[in-house]
Amino acid sequence: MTTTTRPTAPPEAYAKAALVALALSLTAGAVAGWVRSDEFWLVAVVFAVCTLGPAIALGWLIFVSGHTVQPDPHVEDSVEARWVERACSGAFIDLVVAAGVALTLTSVLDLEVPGGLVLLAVVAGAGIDAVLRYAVISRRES
Amino acid sequence: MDNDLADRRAERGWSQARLAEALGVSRQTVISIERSRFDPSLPLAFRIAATFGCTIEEIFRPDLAD
Repeated sequence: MTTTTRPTAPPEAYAKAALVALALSLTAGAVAGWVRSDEFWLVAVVFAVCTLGPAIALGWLIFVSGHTVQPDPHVEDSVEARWVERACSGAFIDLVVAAGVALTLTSVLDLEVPGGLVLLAVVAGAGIDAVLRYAVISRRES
Repeated sequence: MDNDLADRRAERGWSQARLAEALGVSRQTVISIERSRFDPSLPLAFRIAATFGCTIEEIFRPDLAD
C-alpha cells in the first residue's frame, strides 16, 4: 500500500494566518459597532463572527497556501479552464447589460434603490450567471 | 479541428485517463479533444505530438467546413 504525504506549512504560517484573520474580523466588528452607535457590542460581535470565515480564508491564502498548494503548470491547457474563462467573460457582459438596463429603468421611473440591495444583486447575479453559464457550456461541449 | 487522437490512443491501448496523466491535463480535456469540441493550446498540441512521436500536423487537421 502506498501512502502520500500532504504538504504542510510551518507552524508560524498558520499562526500568522490566524492572527491576520482575528485582526481583520475584530477590526470589521469594531468599525461596524462604532458606525452604529447603539448596541455596540451586539453589532461588533455579529460582524466579527460574520467576517471571521472570509478572514480565515484570506489569511490561509496569503500565508499557508503557498506552502500547501502546488500549482498545476498545465492548468491553462485544460478544457475546464477555457470553460471558466468563457463563463466569466459571458457573465461580465451580462452584468454590464443588466446594469445598463436597470439604470435606464430606475432613471425613467424615478426609482430610489438602496445601494446595499444593488450590490447584493450584482454579486449574486454575477455568481449565479457564471455558474449557470459554466454548467451549460460544460454540458454542451463535454 | 479534426484529429485522430482517439485512434492513436487506442493503438497504444491507453485509457483516456492514462493519456490525460501523460499530458498533465484532465480526462475531460482528452475527451473534448477527441470529440473535436476543444482545440488544444499550442503547448498542449506540442506535448500531444511528442507523446505520440509525430508532428502536430499528423494528428490535427483543420476542419475545412469551418
